[in-house]
Amino acid sequence: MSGAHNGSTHSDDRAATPQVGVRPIVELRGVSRSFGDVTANDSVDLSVRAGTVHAVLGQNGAGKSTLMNILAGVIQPDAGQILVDGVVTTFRGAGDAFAAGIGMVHQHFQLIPSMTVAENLLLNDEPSRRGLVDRGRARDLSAQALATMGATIDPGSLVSALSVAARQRVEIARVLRRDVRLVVLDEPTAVLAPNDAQELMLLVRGMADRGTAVVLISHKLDEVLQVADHLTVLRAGRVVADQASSGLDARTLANLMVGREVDMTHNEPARRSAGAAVMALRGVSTSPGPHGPALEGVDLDLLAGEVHGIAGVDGNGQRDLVSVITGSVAPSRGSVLWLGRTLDGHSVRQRIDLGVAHIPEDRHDQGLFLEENLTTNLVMRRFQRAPASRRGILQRATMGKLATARIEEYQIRGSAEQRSHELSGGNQQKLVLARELSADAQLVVAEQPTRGVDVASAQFIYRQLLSQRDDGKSVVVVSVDLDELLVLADTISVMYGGRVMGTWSRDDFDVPAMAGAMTGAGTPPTAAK
Amino acid sequence: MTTVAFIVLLIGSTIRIATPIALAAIGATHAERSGVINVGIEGCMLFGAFGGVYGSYVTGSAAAGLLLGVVTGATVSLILAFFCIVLQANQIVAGMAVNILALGLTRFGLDQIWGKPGVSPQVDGLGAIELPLLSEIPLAGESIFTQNIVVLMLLPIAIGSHLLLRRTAFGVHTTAVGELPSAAASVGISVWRTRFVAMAICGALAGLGGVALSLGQLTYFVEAMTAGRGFIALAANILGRWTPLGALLAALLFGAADALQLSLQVRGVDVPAQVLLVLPYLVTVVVLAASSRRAKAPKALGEPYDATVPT
Amino acid sequence: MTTRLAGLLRPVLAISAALVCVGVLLAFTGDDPISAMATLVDGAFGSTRRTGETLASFVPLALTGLSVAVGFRAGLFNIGAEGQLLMGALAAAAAGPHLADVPPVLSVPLLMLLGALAGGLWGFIPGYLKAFREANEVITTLMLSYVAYFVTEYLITGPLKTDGVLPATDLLPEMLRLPRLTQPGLDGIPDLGRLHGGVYVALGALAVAAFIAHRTTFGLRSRLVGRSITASEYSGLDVRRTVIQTMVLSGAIAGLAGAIQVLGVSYRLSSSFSPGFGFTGIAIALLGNLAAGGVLLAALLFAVLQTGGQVMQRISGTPSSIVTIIQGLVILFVATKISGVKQMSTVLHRRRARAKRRERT
Repeated sequence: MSGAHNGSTHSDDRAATPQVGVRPIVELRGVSRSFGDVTANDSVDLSVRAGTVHAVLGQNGAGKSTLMNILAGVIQPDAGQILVDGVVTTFRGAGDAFAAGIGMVHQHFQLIPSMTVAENLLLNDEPSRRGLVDRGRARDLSAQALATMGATIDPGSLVSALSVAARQRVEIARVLRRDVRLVVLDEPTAVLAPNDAQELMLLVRGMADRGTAVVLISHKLDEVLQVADHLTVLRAGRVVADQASSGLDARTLANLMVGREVDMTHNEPARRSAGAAVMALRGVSTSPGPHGPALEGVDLDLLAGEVHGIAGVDGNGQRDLVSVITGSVAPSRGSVLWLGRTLDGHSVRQRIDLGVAHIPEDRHDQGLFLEENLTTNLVMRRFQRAPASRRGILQRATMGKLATARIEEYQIRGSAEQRSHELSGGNQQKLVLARELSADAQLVVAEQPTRGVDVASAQFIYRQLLSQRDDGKSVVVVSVDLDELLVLADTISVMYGGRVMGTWSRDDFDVPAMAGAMTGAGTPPTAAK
Repeated sequence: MTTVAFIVLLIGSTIRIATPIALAAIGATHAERSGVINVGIEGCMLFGAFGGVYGSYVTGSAAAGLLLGVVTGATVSLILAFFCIVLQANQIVAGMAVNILALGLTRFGLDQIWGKPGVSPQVDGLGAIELPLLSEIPLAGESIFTQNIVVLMLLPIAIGSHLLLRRTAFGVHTTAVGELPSAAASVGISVWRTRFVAMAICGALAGLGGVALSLGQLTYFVEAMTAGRGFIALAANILGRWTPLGALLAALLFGAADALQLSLQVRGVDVPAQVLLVLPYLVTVVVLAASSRRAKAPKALGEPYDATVPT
Repeated sequence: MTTRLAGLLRPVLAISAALVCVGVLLAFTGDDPISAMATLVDGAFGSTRRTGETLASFVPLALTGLSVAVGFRAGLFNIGAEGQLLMGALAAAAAGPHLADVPPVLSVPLLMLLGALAGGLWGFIPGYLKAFREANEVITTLMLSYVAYFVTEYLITGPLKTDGVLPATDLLPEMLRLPRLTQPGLDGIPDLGRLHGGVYVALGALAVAAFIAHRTTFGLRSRLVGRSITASEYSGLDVRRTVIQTMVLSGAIAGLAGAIQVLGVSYRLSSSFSPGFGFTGIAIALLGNLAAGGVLLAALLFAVLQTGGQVMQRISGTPSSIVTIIQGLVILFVATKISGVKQMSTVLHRRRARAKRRERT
């Protein structure tokens, strides 16, 4: 038995596995890769053995994605070697890696929503009979592949009709059926409810026990410690730790990832008494759209001087909720109240003018005009009135002054005339924040504000949101990360299937109940508070 | 002439007149399903029409002309494909360039080869073929079941395209490439190669459509003779919801409008010619206005695929 | 500074490449490309009269180029500028003869306005259909071009036909015609051909367009919609309204071009009114994509090609379809992104490097 595997102090669902390999099946040696001036990977070594779960940890920007893309053949390294079974290999593309037995399950599923499960599973591997696709055999093969995942999904159903967890099963099945020996999972539990995440980790363990090598990319330290045999920690493109997981705890790992002592106890945000409702939703329902279930009879009070967290697995109505609040979607039933008065009609422009700020989930496509300079991006939502313009004529000097002031205030690394696509991801997020938080809004809606952001910037964002709250604004934070909300929010509402399943205030936070609500347990409150 | 006779004649001429549009529309289906907008179909048709006449002129046989027309159309489409797929040019703009080049080069060709401005000499055209048995039906036999070979190829091509796109692995790959190219690439499908093949088929069909015009309906080439049919074909593909059979039916609709105005002209109806000539174009606008809203185009349509960017 | 230079580089490269290709084509068919070019340039600038003719062609081209460019800015492909131009010409040619008793200082601007309105209407239709019915404007604008062509054909051979054999409208009364800049035959004053007062209107339109584009909220709105619809909706911009307004403006400018052409050059609407001004506008807009200043230069270039090309055909027999070919090539080369060329060379380079590595191992 391999020495790396004994003395484990962790959960006992890991039996001794005779399939654990001694020689690594895939190795990266001295792999380096840069994009322009940015060094994403710097001389990285990685050895993955069969039958093990190997976790790759690191902050956003540490180089995990690049490394995984190299491993999966999607991009080529500038230097270093890839060895498969001890033989130096080059991957010309994902297809080559696939052929070598390496499969990758991306965070954004590579599934085609308008095609069926079977078509997706068997893409480029379709069984044929006399030139045409053999649909009967395709069905059987798909059913087989899905069965090994323990998933009861109809192969003939369209992917667009499946839930996120189901889609993930299909995605993993797609990779597994190609006789892969190494599977890379990129942040697989980011989109799952706690229960589904647990099930997935069991599945991962099962895969390893059957002899597959699993590389798990995650930033959820507890999860990783629970299931991983071996860890590699990346920081700023370099390997800072590469060892068995036994004997490590979350705090040590966090320190390794960040490079210094990390204070694991988050500051309790000073609780102030909340004011009146800035915006209220009464019995709001929306019509179902392509993006998920509609809202069903949502009652919500967004109070001034309070951070109201919206928890829930992605795709349970949060998008519609944000759309109703920000004005891009009209409720089909129910009403929206602003400062106690029912609002007539809806439009994004109306909400902006009333004083709603919106930090969107999709920073790139929605939140910024990438081809425009910083000045334009800072006024893009409010340039049709003073001070940015007067009677239709743009006041360029004023716009320029405002822009310079904001850039300084938020310490954005960039000049007013630069195109925003030239900024780094972190600075782009700061740009969005600078614009929305200084708009003198009364209601701030922040969607997944720290997604893809490193720890230091995340702290900065939390401070900004809390200071908005302290100024008496109503702050709404939509996040799939319950832990984040538990730290940040004064009140949390959990959404499932378009309904608000429950609302808890800080003094009554009940994590098991909330986690249950995220998967539909419990009944939604029927009467308004 | 009785109404029945009129309708029968109309059906026959609809099929004949719709053929160029239908072929180009089915070609558009192939290209757009793989994610490439081929605005240059009009140009490919025109080049095909010219190639057809030239081939027939040089060899004296319409069959050679047909072949040359198809090859010309495919070649032009592949050149456009190179600019759009490899060089990532804006597909609509590059397509318009092809259309303008077609006008200019065919006009240039007319001048250089035949010295006659505006029109080529008459050449050997595609003869009418009488379908066995069917062509002996009174009235219908003459107008519906006696057509030139390209018209007869239309239905098999439509069915073949349907089978290819919906029932073969290649067709599934094409659809995948048009919806989410990164997903297709991740399983080893070559996005570029699939798109090139789709564009080649599109160009070949458009060229064939041009031949149907210049050797089928006429026996010579006239400057700008496609007169917007390529664009009507694009509209037919939209109306037909990016399926070959749908595109065929839609093209028949547009062809009917064209055939109607022709037969009304022939009957000497007391309406100015231009009012009738306008019909197919107006119908296209109205159809687009009515049906574009719910039309779901392939998701990746028009977006060049950058093979070097990791997902 | 470097971005500005790079911005100029692309159009210059595109034009050069187009000229080289055409030169090769001409050499292939036995014509001498150098002398053909020389004849063309001479035809455009060889005498003051010819220069005047070139500048007279510049007027409608600058306006159609501007029209298409306005559309491009908002991400709209208005390839129906030809039809909008025809409708504008129709309005001016039809209304003109009826305004003979109105003082020209009122009637001439009125006719221009009518032309702009007619073109604006012809732009409104596809604009509305795009905004509210998601109808592809590439197809609808082109279809409406054909409709415009047939409608005008019908009118000038029917209800609006002038007496006599010519299929055209009545001639515009003399005082409604835009004055020529110079009169031929007077001693000492150079003859500038058909160059007329409309050139000032064209230049003015370019200046106003530049102002609108860079200094007004409408201009910014238009540009942002052209960049990203998603971000525009997030920003609370009324995308539909912007699309319609832009198409109306685009059509109006093309309509104005048609009206000015009637008022200044042809004085009537006849069958062969436009040698494709609207389509050339597409190439002009693409070349001059940088700014309204770019449109001016590009329009000048194509005016040279058009006028010079006609002379070249007459004198040396080289067909003027060469000019159309140049247009097409220029559009094709401008559409190619430099990033695309870079990407292709990266891919090729990588393939070669990998092949070498495989050989070694």
